[in-house]
Amino acid sequence: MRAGWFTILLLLTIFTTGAFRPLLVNTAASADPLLILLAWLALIDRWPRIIVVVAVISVYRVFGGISTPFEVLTPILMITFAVRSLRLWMDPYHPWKRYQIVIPALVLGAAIEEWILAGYLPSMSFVFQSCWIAALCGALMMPILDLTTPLLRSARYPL
Amino acid sequence: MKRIERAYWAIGCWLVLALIGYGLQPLVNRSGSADLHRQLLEQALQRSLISEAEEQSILDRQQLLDRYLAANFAGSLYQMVPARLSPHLDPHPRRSVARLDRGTETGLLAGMGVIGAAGVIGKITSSGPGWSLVQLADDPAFVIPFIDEVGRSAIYAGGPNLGRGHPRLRIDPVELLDGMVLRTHGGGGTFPEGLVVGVVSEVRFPFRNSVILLTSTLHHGQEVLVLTPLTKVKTR
Repeated sequence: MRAGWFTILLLLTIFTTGAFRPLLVNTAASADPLLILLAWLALIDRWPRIIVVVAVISVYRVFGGISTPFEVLTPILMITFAVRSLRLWMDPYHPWKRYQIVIPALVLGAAIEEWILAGYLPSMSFVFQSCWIAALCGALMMPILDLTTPLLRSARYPL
Repeated sequence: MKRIERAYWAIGCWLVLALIGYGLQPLVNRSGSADLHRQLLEQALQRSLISEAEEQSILDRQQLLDRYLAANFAGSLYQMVPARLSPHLDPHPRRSVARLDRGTETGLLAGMGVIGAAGVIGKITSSGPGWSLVQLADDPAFVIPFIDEVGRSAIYAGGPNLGRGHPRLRIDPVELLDGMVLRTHGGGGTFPEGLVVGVVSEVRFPFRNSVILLTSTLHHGQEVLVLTPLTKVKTR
């Protein structure tokens, strides 16, 4: 049943990415719901689940489109490792401090994605805009994800 | 309310929000600049490339072929394969892709250029039997050399927004002006020289922040031609 709800969450996130696709251009790449889900899981969850999400995103985006594995995997892995590194210094369970982990990780992912696709490092305005867009979308999506934690039935999520 | 009930409610609300997002997509896609976009491109084309009568006549595959057969590159280096282009959503939200109804059975391979009635459409990135995926000209990773009206060259790149591109790099001292028509350079072997890439709509500093408008039909279903390089056949 845990796997069932986890699959539904993943599918719902893919569905949401498709729904808000026209808005996810340029700086709004940091608000990609699939990447927010990955960052949220990487905050607290176990590695096997994180690896499953990384694998699903990679397979879906590489085999369904024109992106190469390098273009898809690099930002995803950077986000994952950034979250796992930053959580060593900040409390991932804290309702506000966790944004200080997720937002830099999402901005880093968006910047690397821009660098790989467009061929140059993004400007400071790109970073600032990505920051507030990531903060806004993270603040919208993470409380909803928090509410779904009883369905995932993991000891990592405190009751 | 129990925690598990709140979780079900959260999933339900999320689904509703996603459905609302899908419902609002046509409003977002129909941007206010679409009319200006079309007007600029059509004015430029009328002035420099084709007459009004010819533009009206580009309705089907045969007429499209006839138009480009008269172009000076026809028969020299490229063979033109007609195909039907249809919109395709790439799973990656930043990518801009379309699909062709022809593939390897007609010799279409990755790297071949795709042109439409208004000029450059994109490049084929992968193909199989009966299908090809085309990287459209507004994809962030789409890069080709272009020339301005005087013949000075620079590098064009797609994005950052849909239906737009930007100059990435000067090769010659190019100076962009509003309404300037940019054409393919001919280097690289994908596109011949002289095809319309787009029209400059905003000149900004630095150079790479300028905006180039592409054809307004880029993301619509249309008849296109694939440029397949001719190979020399050894004869005795």
